[in-house]
Amino acid sequence: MSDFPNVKAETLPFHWSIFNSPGWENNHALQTATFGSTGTWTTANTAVYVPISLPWNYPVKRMFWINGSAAGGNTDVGIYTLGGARIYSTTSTAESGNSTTQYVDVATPFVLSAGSYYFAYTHSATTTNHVWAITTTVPFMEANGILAQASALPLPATATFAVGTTLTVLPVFGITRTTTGF
Amino acid sequence: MADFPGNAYLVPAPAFSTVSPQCPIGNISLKASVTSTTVAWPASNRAIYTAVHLESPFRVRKLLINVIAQSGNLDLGIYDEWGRRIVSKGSTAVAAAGNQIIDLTASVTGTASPVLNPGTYWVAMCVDNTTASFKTMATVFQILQLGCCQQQAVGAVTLPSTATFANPATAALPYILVSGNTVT
Repeated sequence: MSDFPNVKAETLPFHWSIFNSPGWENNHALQTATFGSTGTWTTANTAVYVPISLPWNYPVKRMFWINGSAAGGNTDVGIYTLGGARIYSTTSTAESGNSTTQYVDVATPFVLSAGSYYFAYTHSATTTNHVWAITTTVPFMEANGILAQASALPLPATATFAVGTTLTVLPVFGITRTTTGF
Repeated sequence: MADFPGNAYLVPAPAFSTVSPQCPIGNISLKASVTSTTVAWPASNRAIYTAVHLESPFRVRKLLINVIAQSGNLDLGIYDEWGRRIVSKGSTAVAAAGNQIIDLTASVTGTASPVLNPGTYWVAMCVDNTTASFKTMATVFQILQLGCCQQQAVGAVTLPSTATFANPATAALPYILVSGNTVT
């Protein structure tokens, strides 16, 4: 018997993203930060790892992120265990579509078991307006367990976590159980 | 039997809305101190669909919206995850400023007082003019696209039998309360 419920997929939210992370849920200051706007990635090829919990088993069909008003460069998003083992990543993907959500199909969809993970994001450039993110501060990122890794594009097979002393933006990205739409 | 219950929506509530936990993005917008605002309906005969996820059965009896400026007609209804209409009220005059209650227990298209089993549904609203305005949650449309809102140029105020979804073009999340109460 599983300790975590198997609920029907149709009862699950369409998307599960950094908005469902403790850093967003619990941090009022983070929540009242600029609620998403086009911006600049802090350091080229630096990955951010955001701790996120899943209350149920979740079928992952696509991953997504939101592009800035001048999409460019390459982005890679993925999922890691708390120990830093990569479960999945999209691989380095050219951004396409200004100010829109970009989706990457998971070639072999899988069910992510209920539990805790790191959702990872990295971007190739610090060019203005490549990314769409939440502007925040280094202390709040660190206080909510958001970690980083330099020189991490594409996302590595094994993460080397470090406190991200330069991170001031939190990109909007996540997983979806949908195969089309949005 | 699971040792642990479902997710955050543990207790069946007498009502939910487009800013309660049943609508994840609406709830997130609320937590982000994005304040409610007043928005004129963005386009005539545009339907806006807001997704809600139910963990327990819920009988729908009434819908409640908040009118700021009265003009023309509207329609409200409930659709299943695949865009098939379950119930709608039909073309109804926009009420005077204040709460407007839409009774889904009678004189509806589809199933009156439907029981929604656990699953995903769309709460739909369509207005035939851009003068009428309503209480909404102002956010950013990129956020609404994250599985919360879709829209459709219906061509008429009456909601269609089958929705054709498109990403939202505006950033307003209409406030719609869905009630299981017999008296709201």
